[in-house]
Amino acid sequence: MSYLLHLLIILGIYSTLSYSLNLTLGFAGLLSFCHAAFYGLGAYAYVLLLQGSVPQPAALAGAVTINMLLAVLIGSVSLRFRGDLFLFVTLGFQMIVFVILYNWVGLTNGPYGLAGIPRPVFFGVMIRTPLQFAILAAAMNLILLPLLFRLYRSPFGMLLKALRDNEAAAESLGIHGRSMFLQAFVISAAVAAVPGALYASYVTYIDPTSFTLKESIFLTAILLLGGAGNRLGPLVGTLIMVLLPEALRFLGLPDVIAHNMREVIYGLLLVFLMYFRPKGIAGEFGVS
Amino acid sequence: MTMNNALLIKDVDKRFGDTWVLRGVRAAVPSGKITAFVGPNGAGKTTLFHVIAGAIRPDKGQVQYKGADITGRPPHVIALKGIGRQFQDVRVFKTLTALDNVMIGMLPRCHQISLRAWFRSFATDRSIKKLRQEAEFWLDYVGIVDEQTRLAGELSFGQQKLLSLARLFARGFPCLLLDEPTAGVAPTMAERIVSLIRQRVDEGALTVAAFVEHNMTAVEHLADWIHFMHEGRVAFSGRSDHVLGNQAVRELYMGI
Repeated sequence: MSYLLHLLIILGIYSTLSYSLNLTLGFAGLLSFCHAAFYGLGAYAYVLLLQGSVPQPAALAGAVTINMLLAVLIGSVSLRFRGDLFLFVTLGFQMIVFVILYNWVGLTNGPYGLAGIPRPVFFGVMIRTPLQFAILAAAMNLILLPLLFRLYRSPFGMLLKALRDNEAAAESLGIHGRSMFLQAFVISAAVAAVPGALYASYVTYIDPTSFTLKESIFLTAILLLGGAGNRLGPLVGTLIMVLLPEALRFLGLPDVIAHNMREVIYGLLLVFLMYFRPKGIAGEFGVS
Repeated sequence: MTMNNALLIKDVDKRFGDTWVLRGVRAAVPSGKITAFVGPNGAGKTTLFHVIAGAIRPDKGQVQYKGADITGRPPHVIALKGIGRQFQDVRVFKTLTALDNVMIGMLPRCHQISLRAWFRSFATDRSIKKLRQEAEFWLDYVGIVDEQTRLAGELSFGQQKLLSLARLFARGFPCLLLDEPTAGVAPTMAERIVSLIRQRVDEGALTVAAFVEHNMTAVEHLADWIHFMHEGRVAFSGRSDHVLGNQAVRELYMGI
């Protein structure tokens, strides 16, 4: 039972992450490889603020704000580029963030990570059991996803899609591309701080290896596989990418093979989809 | 020229490396008229189009719109000042419906700010409905209202040209730059495009600058005024019948 609840919590975390990335990748059409950096920065900022005796709600708000400020900085630089160059610049930032988390030992405790992260407390109740965390993860999705969905459906979402389809044509109609892309990038980063904080308080220990480039690629793969630019794609992608390796456990393969098989199956699925369904299983926009 | 000019291009130079693409281009686009920039391939028409639209910054010279200097302003600012443009390769928003394509240009600017768009999204259903009706009107105006729910990427090239015109008309730009408005479409479709542009100009104070390479029939029917471009300069300017009747132009351009 606790295994199933653990899966639900992980699903909850990845679902929020993929829906937030969906705004940048699916709506704005910007293939960003630094979403895991924002996920990690959110987690670290939350924990460091807690260690600085900041109350939990303020620490969460602080983590969101810090992510927004850093996203303005990173976005302002990376959004001078488009396409492959944008991808490489965000990839660079992903690596810079990792290196900082890994080497700024005085602040982040470097590779040793931060341990003993306090459990969240809501209305005097400490969240500690898997069931409570599963409810918290569900609540996070129930609060954040409708906010994102409203933005997806709003004229802002439609304008982003127009920019994604053809930036020059959209600009010729008076739409300021860079400003709108930056807003999408910042909102994505801000939302990613929340699952970061939830993850930190769930596992009570974080280190930089949880927020590597591999994680960013994993998040992008969720959207490429499930589909981007709508509400269904990220859900389908999250379910497949999170649950598939778990399903493989029951095949009875030796651990070493099972782990490698996961990677092979992800890779094959991506190759297969790029050929036969470039928009992903349930998406409306294919990254080209 | 004493007439009222919407656009004024003053001594514009543009060089790419060692190649001069525009050399001291001087031209005027009078208000409420259709002005065509014609000339052979490589004459500098498309570069001039991009210079006016803000996509390329000239090395020297000035572009004025209604007396204000707009040289080197970014494309979205030039659009906000009232200059719309149609690209040669059309550039519709392929994953959006034809109706949404038209609505994109009509959305008030506040929707470009995420927070305002988010809060307003609770109240915009009615205004969006009104915009939708207006957008339908413009699709009907260009004759593709039946395609409104289809994705723009699924429309034929001619229909996409009409759609991009509807987009510009709906936005209400007082001045349009059209890059090869009839290129790549069937003759009947080209006729329709020309008559739609003519109709809008005759209906009100729309100013058009069209950049045309080959379609002389379109130029004859479309243009009130012609600037003939050759090797990066405006070689002749005048009323369309005068320029097209000029022997030197005929030799340079049509080889006759």
